[in-house]
Amino acid sequence: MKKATFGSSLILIALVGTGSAYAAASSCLDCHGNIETMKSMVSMPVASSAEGEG
Amino acid sequence: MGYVVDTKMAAADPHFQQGCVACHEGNASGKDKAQSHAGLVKRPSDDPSVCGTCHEGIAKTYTLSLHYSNAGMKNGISPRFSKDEKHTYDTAVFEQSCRSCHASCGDCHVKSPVISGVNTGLMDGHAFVRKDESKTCALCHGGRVYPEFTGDYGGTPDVHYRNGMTCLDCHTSTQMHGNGMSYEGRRDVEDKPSCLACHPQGSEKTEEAKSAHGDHGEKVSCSACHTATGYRQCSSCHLGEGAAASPALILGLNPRKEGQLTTLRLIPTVRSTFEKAGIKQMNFDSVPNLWDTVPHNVKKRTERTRDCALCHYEQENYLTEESLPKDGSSANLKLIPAGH
Repeated sequence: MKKATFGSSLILIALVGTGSAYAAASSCLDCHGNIETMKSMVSMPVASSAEGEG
Repeated sequence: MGYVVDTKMAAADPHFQQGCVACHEGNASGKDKAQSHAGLVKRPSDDPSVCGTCHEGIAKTYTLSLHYSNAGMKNGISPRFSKDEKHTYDTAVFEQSCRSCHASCGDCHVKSPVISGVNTGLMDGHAFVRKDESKTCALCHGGRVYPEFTGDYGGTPDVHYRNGMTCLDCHTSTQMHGNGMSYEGRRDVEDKPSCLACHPQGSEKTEEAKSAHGDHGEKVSCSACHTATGYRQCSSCHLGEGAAASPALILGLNPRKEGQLTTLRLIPTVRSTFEKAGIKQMNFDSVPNLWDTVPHNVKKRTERTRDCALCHYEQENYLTEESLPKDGSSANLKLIPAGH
């Protein structure tokens, strides 16, 4: 019975761990999850005055 | 916008539970962009087995499908080449050009492919878009078929679209992902869409329709009569600098079905198409520049269904020698209906 409880605890830890895997991986999202950060990292092409008219 | 991920969506979607690096690799603990992107795999689903970890069945059939192999494009153009040219095309052109954007799992479900240098980024904040025809289909098929279907070119929207149908109502997911068979081209696919599958001959509601279908039978395709208006020809964009859009309805002989009158579409291959790769297309004249097509602007009653004289006397929209593209394939002449 104790073994079963221990096993259940391991499963619970594993499940919680899976949830935190997303959080750990979200270091990518520090940039890719923030539109303002992403905007600041992109240099927009400069259009000449003749382009985009009409 | 671009590559911004919708974090709320990602937190709830099981695709993201293993973290970004599970598919994209790279370095999740990098301190800056260069470190983080070291070893980054931009298009992980170029290898369908990545998705096949969970979607095993689809990944298995998909590698044989036409969307993945692009065999239809390859086999369609190959008759124009000599043996040596075919080798050059297969090695130097096809893999680098045609096949470069056709088509990973992600090209249809995550991010639009880069077309002519235009990159519109993620479809929906990196959501795995299961079905949204305006994106999953139209980002590639938006040059001709999809805008014909919706009427975005200003023509008549397809009757099926007007009644709430979308691409997948005719083109099933099995066709998108393949059925495990390897085909030469889309016309060889066993369960490809067919008008008669839903509209069998004999099910007509009026005697006039029954009689018209009986009289024309195999000699005239469904689209020859039921195409609403002119549809986009490739010359509309590919004729060269300064070309003006010129939708047209062209009726001629089906190059793939002897003796049948059908709708034809001008394709963009010209004699100089592969010059940069050193391919002169030695057998250019072995196949035509116009091919049978099913324009996706179907209408029940058209000018041609209302007035027999348009085809039988005036022969309006018929392909003629004068209307053929200049310097086109001599095989085009075989598509001109008798008497023209």
